[in-house]
Amino acid sequence: MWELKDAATLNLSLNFRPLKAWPQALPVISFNQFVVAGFDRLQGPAFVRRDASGTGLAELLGSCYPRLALAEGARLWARLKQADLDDSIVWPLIGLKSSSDHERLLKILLSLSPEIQDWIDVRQVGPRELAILLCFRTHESITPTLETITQRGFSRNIGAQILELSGELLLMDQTPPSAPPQDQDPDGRLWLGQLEKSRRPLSSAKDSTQSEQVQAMPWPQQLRSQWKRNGDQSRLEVSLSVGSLQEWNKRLEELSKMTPHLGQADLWKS
Amino acid sequence: MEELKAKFSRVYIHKDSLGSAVAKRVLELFPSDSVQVVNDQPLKEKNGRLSAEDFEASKRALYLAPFKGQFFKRCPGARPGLLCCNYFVLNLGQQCDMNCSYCYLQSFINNPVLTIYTNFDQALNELKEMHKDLGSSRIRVGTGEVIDSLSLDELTLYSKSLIEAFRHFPNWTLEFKTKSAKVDQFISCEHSKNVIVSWSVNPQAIVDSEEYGTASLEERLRAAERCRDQGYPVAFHIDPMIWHPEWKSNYTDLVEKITQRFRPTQVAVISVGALRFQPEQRIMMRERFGMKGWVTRAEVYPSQDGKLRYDQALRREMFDHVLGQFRAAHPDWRVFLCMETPETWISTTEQIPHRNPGLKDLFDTKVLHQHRNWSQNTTTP
Repeated sequence: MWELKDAATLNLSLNFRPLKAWPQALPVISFNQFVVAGFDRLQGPAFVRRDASGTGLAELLGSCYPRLALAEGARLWARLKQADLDDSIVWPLIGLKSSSDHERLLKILLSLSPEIQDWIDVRQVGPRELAILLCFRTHESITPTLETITQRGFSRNIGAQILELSGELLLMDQTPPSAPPQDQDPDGRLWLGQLEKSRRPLSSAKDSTQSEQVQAMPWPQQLRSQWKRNGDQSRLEVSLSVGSLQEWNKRLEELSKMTPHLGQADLWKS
Repeated sequence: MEELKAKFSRVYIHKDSLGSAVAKRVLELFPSDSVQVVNDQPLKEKNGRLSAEDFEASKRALYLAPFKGQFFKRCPGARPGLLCCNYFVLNLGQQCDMNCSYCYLQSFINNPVLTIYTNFDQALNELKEMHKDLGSSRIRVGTGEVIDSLSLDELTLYSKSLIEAFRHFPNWTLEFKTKSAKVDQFISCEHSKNVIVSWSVNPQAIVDSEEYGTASLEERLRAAERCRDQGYPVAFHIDPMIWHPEWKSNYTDLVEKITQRFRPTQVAVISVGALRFQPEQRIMMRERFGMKGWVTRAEVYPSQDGKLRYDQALRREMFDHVLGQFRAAHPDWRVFLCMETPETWISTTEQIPHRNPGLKDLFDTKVLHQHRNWSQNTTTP
């Protein structure tokens, strides 16, 4: 049953700071005394759904917010708990199954700053990408990494990898390299590369040596060569473009002259 | 038995399993206040992806229940892109009472209790049925895929019945695979030399740092010697090889221990594999074991099958080293790579297994086709 009331008379304790503002064209929506949408409006008309059983709250929230991001969900979950309402209704809204790990993750998200929470939500970072946070008893050590990722607005892909590698290094009792200055590394790739080197020092050192060896070889000018890692394999990649059969034969001849250099460097030695 | 009893804080017995021999032994062994008879799987609300805490707890909760499904399955290693041996698995339970940091069950187990299936007779019947159709084929059957074959065998005594059953399956080979040293319960059984008792082995340094609750390397080798002395063929799985600064000398030492105590004719096969795991398994490993062990801090990369593995060149070096040690000891050692890619096979052994006369039987694809036909014609109960 619906009734029309003045928003000023309603309870704002479920205000979970939704990421998207409630459209001005729509009225405040309330479930019994609790506002569920339009938290920014302190007065004006409000549609109130009266439901003594309380079972309609999940449906109403689902209609207002078909899908919530993780930190938004965490905030709603905490508000529902505080208001002594059924907090389990949050799980379908954030697309997760109720589990002790997910509960722990929501609690961790709640302990992070609003800026970090918003980066997680705007970039749609998922629980798997945040799983490293579950390994920390307290989050003081990993928070600076999260703050830098947030302040610099890194993409989900880069940010999640930086978080994972920094977290693993901290858990290994190693200090992760600090982020390079923003003007030298606007998208975080440089930092990510440094973290990779710290996390996989042996393979990275080997890749670097092989890369330097390849660069030092007297490659013909029309060929591009590089030592490239692709997953668990690192290989020599040579690319060329030709415009005629004659040119093709010439390139092949030039390439064959590289064989002794490759043999000498022994790139494929373990 | 006291050691076994101490492993479980809670025992659940499904009402349909009460009459089973395993349940009777469990009821005799455990105090009545730690045993509960249930109508359904306990802690069912936790089914699904287990948290690290739930996974940990699942090792301490024993559940005896009948299995509703087909006991006999193809080895999960057989996937596109991987060369795998001709291996079938007979799952007589699920979850392991030991605790290896790299254990793949961490990404596989989805129920919160260590389960032992009590309808063992049904498993035997399934084997007999399959034997009617495939009895002339050379099939290898293993029981240690999702539960250690022998660590709880004092309780189940399934090994004895299987050894007896395989006396009637002369073309088939049964393989027990374990990290325990529990062989007393079956060692004096009459057998047809088609039961291989195999051990996953690693240098003691790795046993200490990564294989918690398992028998020591020495205990495993001693148990293997006892089995050999009773005429059982034995096998060793140097798998997963784990990189650590002293890996070369430690694996040399391991190969020496095997080659000095056993002759190639006494060891059916040696399989070698390197550390590999599903990416999502890393999450649980990190939480359960921290980041200071050689497994969790390993330098691994995504491989073509999606698992995380060491750099291919490093794997090749590790395999070359172990294979070289065996070859140097005696050319007759039968060593093969487990769950590896064709590239690694070729670069390490210079041929794919189907073309290696000593290993050809293990990879006989004819048998796989026969099994597929058999499975399709069999309805799961």
